[in-house]
Amino acid sequence: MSSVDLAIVGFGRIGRIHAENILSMQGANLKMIVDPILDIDEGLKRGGIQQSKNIADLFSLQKIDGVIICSPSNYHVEQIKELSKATKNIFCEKPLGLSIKEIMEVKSLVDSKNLNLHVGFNRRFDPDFSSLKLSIVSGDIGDLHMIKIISRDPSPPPISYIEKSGGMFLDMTIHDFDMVKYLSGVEISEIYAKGDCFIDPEIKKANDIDTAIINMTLKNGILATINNSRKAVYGYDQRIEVLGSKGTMIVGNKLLHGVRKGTKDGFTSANPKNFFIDRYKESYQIEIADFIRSTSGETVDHANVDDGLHALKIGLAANKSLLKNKPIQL
Amino acid sequence: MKKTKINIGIVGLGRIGKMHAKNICQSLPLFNLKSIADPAPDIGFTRNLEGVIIGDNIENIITDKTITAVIVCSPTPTHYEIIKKCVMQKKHVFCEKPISFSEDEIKELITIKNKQNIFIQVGLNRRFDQDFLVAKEKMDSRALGDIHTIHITNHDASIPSFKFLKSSGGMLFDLCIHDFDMLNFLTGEKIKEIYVNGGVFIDKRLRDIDDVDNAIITLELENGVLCLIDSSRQTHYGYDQRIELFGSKGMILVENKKDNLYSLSDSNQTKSSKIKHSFIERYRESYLNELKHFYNSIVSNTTPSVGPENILSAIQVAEAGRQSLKTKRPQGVKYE
Repeated sequence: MSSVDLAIVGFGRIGRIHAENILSMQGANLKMIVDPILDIDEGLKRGGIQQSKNIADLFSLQKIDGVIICSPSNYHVEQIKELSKATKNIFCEKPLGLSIKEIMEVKSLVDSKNLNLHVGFNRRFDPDFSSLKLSIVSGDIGDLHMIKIISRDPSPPPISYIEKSGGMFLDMTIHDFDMVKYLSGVEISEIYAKGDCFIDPEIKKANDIDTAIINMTLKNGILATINNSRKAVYGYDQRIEVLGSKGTMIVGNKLLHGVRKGTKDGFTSANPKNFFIDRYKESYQIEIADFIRSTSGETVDHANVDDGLHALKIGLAANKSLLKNKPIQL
Repeated sequence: MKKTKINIGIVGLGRIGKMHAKNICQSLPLFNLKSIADPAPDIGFTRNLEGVIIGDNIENIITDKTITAVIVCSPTPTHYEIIKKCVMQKKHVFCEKPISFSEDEIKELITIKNKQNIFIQVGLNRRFDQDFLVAKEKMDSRALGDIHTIHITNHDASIPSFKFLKSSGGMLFDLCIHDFDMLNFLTGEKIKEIYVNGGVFIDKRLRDIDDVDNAIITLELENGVLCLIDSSRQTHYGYDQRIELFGSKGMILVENKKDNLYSLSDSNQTKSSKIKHSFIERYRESYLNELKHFYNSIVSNTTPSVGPENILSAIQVAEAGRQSLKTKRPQGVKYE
């Protein structure tokens, strides 16, 4: 495998995770980081990685095989369009775009330019969930009947973030909507979302919710549910159960550590890992390793523009359902 | 103080009737099982019941002045008439859920028992399960702060015969009725709204009778707490009975009970047992506790904590659920 040259656009929390992972991998060179508010990072400089505040500087690179977009969501589509002039291989963080129209533009670009576009639904690459998917596909529990997802954050993001996030369904639940499609291989056809603001009245003022119970039907009749909260005091609660004609499969939480303690007061065990960076650490490594492999010509499974479109459509339908208090057909 | 012994009769000797009979004879000496009525009693079972009168109709029980309490475990459509007869003869009644599928019949029974000053306890046994009681106690002591969501998982291990399914009143009235009552029991709140999303995956014939065998149900309580029930008629791995209470200060999980506690690890995997197979195994204690409560209510002359009023509410929720399944819309529950 020849080495591929990569660049990262947007150097926030997630951009740094991808950079770190790329630097630890064989077969890829991180050539440039673009971020309009980036201060010169001496560490990157010593590593021979160029830094720029201007995306146009990417075009000055001699060779560029793939770009990873980690900028704020409202820049994604514009940057995909721009960067498609430089490379066919683009990895974009979720959500791909904030409107159907935007994503449809990306879709036609993908078709006309034959783009290799990956969407950062990292949970698809979590070893537990990909094992679960493999077992479903292998028919270990027969035909799928029901999918149950519990997805709770340890604490809500700042109000300033919530205001720009597009709401809980587009920001947080979007991962769960994609997980339903990933596990079943089928799109969601009907959704009834019920939610409320129980945690912080400021979230309500920002016109959002912090707790939801979502009830769905898939195109082939499978039933699915998602249970969301912005604040589980005991940690990042990420569980999935599937039921089928022959049995069930359950993915539980990953814990901070494996010690169980028993005293006269009973037994205690550790809480779930703190947040997504710890819980889904491996998934970020695997999704970027796969992107690198696909950049050098291998065929890999990944979330594509249709998956990005599906998740957004469902998120928007969830908003509508919440507003009207009735199920919405897709 | 010498404890009063209560003479009791059982009407209906099916699966649950036999269980109550066995519980009384083996573990509840404060009751004296005097008489059983069943049109076709299982001789193999009754031959072990020494000194118990076995009759093919309820007259033996109704006319026996020494019997002060009756357990009704006959098929649901017969409950109403039997309870009425018992109450008119001033006999306290313990009746299996759901008493009746008719709200009017239940309302009438409430009026009659109040007039006769007689107790009717309803077999909503899960209210007497030790695990759920501890969960409720913790929740009531505000260990979870404010409650945000409640999630009940209620799955049968294997689907009953189609003959039973047809007469069961449907999944919402037969299986999920326990969950509707559990939400009310745990929170003290009534259910305000219900949305039922159901599907037929196991027995296709259910489509012809407008029933389902799998359902995900969204509910809202009157205080705004959001609830979820997931339910199915067949799991294969056992009777899946879990409750999750989630609040501002934490979460309570009540997990399944296993058949046994061994696990075996070999070079391929670690294997442990299935979970308990049926209500009789999973809720064994609760069936004893509910009859103890029935006994205590009678001797202390206090109204049992669970009666026809509770099942009436649960049936009203199930009825709204049936409408929701039909209209594919959330429905407000009508309590009148």
